[in-house]
Amino acid sequence: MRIPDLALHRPGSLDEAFEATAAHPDHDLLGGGTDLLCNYKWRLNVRPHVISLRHLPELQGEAAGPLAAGRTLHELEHCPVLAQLCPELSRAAAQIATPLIRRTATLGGNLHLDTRCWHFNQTAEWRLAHDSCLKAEADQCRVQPVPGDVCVATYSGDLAPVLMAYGAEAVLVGPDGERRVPLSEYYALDGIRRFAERKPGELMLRLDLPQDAGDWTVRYQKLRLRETFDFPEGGVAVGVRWADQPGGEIAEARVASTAYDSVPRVHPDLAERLVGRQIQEDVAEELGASLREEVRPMKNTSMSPAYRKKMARVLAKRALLACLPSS
Amino acid sequence: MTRYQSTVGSRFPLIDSMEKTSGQGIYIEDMKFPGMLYARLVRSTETYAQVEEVDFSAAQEVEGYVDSLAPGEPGTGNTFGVLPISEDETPLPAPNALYSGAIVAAVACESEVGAREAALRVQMRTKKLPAVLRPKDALKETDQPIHSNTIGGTNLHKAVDQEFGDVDGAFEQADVVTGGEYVFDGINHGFTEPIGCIAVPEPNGRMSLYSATQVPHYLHRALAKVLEMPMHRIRVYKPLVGGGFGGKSDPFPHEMVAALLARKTGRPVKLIFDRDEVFLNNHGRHPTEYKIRVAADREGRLLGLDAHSRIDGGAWGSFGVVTTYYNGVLSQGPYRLPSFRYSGRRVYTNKPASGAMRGHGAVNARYALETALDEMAEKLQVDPFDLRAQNALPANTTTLNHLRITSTGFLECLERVRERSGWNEKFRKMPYGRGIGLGCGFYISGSALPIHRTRTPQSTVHIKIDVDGGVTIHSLAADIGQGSDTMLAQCVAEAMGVRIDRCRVLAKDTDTAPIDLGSYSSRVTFMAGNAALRAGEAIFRKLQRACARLTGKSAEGFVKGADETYLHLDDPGVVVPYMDALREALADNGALIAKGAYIAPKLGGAFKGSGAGLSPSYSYQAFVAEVEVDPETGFTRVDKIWAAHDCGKALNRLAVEGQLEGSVHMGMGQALTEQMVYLNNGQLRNASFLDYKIPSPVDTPEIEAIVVESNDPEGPLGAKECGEGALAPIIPAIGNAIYDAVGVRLHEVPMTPERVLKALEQKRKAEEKARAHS
Ligand SMILES: Cc1cc2nc3c(=O)[nH]c(=O)nc-3n(C[C@H](O)[C@H](O)[C@H](O)COP(=O)(O)OP(=O)(O)OC[C@H]3O[C@@H](n4cnc5c(N)ncnc54)[C@H](O)[C@@H]3O)c2cc1C
Ligand code: SF4
Repeated sequence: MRIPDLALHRPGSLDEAFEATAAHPDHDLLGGGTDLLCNYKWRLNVRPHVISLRHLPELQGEAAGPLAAGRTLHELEHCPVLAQLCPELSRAAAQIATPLIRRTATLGGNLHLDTRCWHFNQTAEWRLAHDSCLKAEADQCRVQPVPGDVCVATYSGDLAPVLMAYGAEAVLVGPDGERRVPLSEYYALDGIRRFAERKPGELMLRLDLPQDAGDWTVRYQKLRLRETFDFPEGGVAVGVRWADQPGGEIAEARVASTAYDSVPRVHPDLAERLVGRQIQEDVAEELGASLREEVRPMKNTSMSPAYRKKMARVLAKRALLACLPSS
Repeated sequence: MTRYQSTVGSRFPLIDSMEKTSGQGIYIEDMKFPGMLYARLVRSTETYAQVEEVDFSAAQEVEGYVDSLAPGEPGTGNTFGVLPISEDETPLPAPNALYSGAIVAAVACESEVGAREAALRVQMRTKKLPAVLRPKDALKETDQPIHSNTIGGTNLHKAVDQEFGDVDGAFEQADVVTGGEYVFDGINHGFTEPIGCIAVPEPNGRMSLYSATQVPHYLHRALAKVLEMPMHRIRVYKPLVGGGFGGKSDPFPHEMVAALLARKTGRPVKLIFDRDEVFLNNHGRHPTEYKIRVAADREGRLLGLDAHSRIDGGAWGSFGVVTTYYNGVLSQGPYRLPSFRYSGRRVYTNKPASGAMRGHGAVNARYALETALDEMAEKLQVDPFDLRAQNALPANTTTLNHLRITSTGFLECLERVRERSGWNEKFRKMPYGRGIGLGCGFYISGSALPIHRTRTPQSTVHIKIDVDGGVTIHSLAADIGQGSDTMLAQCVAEAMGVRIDRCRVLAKDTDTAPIDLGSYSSRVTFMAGNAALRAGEAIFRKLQRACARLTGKSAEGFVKGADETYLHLDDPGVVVPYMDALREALADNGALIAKGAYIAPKLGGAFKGSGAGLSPSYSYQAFVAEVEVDPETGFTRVDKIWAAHDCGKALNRLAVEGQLEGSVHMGMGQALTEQMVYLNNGQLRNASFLDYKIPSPVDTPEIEAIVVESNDPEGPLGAKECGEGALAPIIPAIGNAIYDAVGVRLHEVPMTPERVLKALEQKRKAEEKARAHS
């Protein structure tokens, strides 16, 4: 397995990065490469220019902040600031891929992880034998072959739902300066386009958590066959802010899922229904049952859609119950 | 005077462990030759098709393109295969490409990157043929059978029908009958080092093939056949091999392609697989449908076994004839059976070939049998341990199908694992969701019959010792990580009374090594070990005579002493250091040489297929698994495994425990997570280590390896196999533990969360229905 020939650019400042992106429109940004380069080895949408973000001081290092896009998952896992601010993020980071990959993989890369599908994540020879698909070399989706196809490949990053449950905002930077978008509005339901709006040259600088993040209890549940290595086959994060004491009435809630769609997404209606209630078995069951109705897993990951749908119930239920202080 | 301190039973690292762990060891990928080309295979994009034309014109545009090999070229249609009875493989299609991903052609370029690019550009014109993917369809008549040797105009490759004793009578008479139907997905070996080889055309017209193989000798024979060259014009060299598990125990088409390309270009050709190609080459465990019935009387005495298997061979024969037999024959132990019937059917389908894999042929059948026995114990209301102990095959007996049983430590395995696991306090006593289960096993310690009809010994070992005092051991037993080089060194050192680090093992080169049939059927320790001991003993006798000449004492009176010396029994004052004895032995004589050989005793009955399953000895296992099942998700977590295995004698405890732990881990993969998944068009969907789910270290429970020693009378220093038999019992142990935990029996393996959950849902529904009716 070899990475095809390409030009690697290593800008040392944001300005240099914007120059490079403008000069080579046909490029990909590179964080740790643990997603992008795997795809490149299989000749998936290879671009001739790759622009590394590893030398931009704004994306990594002390000064860049605890949720800078260039921080590695290993750093997120062991960061004392995050352990205080958003401990569930560190725990979720610790469940991603393998220890080796987490040393290289970045937060930015995780949030921009390409969508996955068994018709797509295959070798070039395999795709050739299969007439490929819309997301690669052909013009039809193999999962839902309907006219005016959209790709329904699965987004399977673990951090996005957790960050959404904490109410995170993405801070983007481009040649025209910075802008902020709630992470829950950052993605678009399209396995190829993936992002609602990204301006040319724009990249993710960091994530910001709202002032009250520390008041939230967030729990994440991940479905996968093996205890390490595997991408989520379903993931649910639940966040609650207590009205007065922990374990009592819920003042505000957030529910987010991953690995069920082409995007990580929030479920505001389900969250709304939790407000004013206390966490109990039946409340948790109800949340689970409703989430199960809302998710539409596709037949393109290793576990069957029917099973993943059933598990949405269990994941949501367990995530909510885990918010209780005793658990 | 102090006698020689034997190393048998101690713990020491394998002799090549430093080479491997320091990264200095040479694997095929590390090797380079002047002027070497890189080959890349072009694979079929059709499920089953006749290859009409291969067009290399676009590939030729790639910088550094040198040459190609296409169907129809000399040698590409010559047949070969590991078993002479089904030599149905060809280097390239002749003219049919048999599965999606089958090798169709090859290109050779100056660089690897160029070869990859060129291969992608190759175009082919094919005519589609009607593909057969499901075994049941393979039993239908067809005008286009996948091979010409099939039975009855279908795609049936091999049929085995055996019956001993009065089976129907046994079932009529039985008080209890249990059994069921089981489906097993195909699995792959998942060894670490991808397959690869380098073919080097020598200036003198010979051909050398360097290959990561378990069977240099069979490869040697197959190359001679395909290249149409005498064997002495060919050399096979095995560098370090990064795992095999049966997945490198056939001669393969790519090895032939590399040699043909090397001959055509006159340059060395390197060909290394990517992981997906390893899966496409497969030769892993057969997808299997298994039906079983077991009969017993009220007292729990087994009366009969009736089994039927249908196994999916994929595109080629490989070891499949043996697999078909083993699926029945190896169920004749470790229990005494008064009657036995087995029918096996192996079919060809348009998928990557199945073949031999660790526990070859015995694993799926074992799950069926051990599950049926668990059910039997429940029906009879006896403890599963007691049922098994009651029916254990005794030592020194023969089975119905004439397997000769000598040593057995089966009862000790049962006793020790029962005690260590705390079985009596746990079985059927733990809370819902927690369970404990037993699975047992029985396996050959080397196939007694060689694959080719020959009177040549199955293993021969040569020793050469010169003035440096180092002991050079020549053998063709293939160390594939299991530690056979270490075993050879230890046997020779034991026989001579010297330190193991005095020995160096050259077991890699057909030019220098005497024949050994290779690493399969768990034969190496038993056979090559015996040969090594005999060679070492021959050297020892020469040294005894040298000691006699030096001291004037009787030669036979010399025994092995401490610190590499020889002592005389009659006179404690006489001590001859090894080097002195050696110098005397070399004088007027030159290098000491000796050889030892092993031929299995003549065994077996006089019926068709009587050779299958014959072995000079057998290993025994009793394993217990403790699990936790999440009834809401169907997930099974294995908390602990106790694995008792009778290996005859642990020559090196560390190595034995390593084999047991490895077997448990591998068996756990088949039990819970591993499966090769095909799309409807026959494409393998999960040909990567991300999608083919081998349990990770995190998923691996604590394993307590319990070494049982029955001291085999014919095994080298009492040893028998420990590398394969230990895989099978873990799967039924886990299945039976799941039953103990949540009350469902899994009829499909692997027992994935989805399957467990489905079984739980079905059980719930059935119970609701029953309640509604009552
Ligand atoms: C075996 C294996 C298992 C895995 N398991 C998991 C898992 O369990 N859970 C999980 O979430 N992920 C998993 N991953 C995916 C991946 O490794 C991680 O998500 C990782 O965090 C990606 O980060 P990276 O820096 O390596 O990304 P890269 O590969 O460098 O980049 C990925 C994408 O993000 C874009 N990108 C990177 N940084 C920025 C930025 N600052 N702004 C804009 N775009 C950017 C890149 O252009 C690229 O498109 C797994 C990967 C492998 C190989
Ligand atoms: S969802 Fe459809 S378009 Fe997207 S990767 Fe899968 S097959 Fe291709």
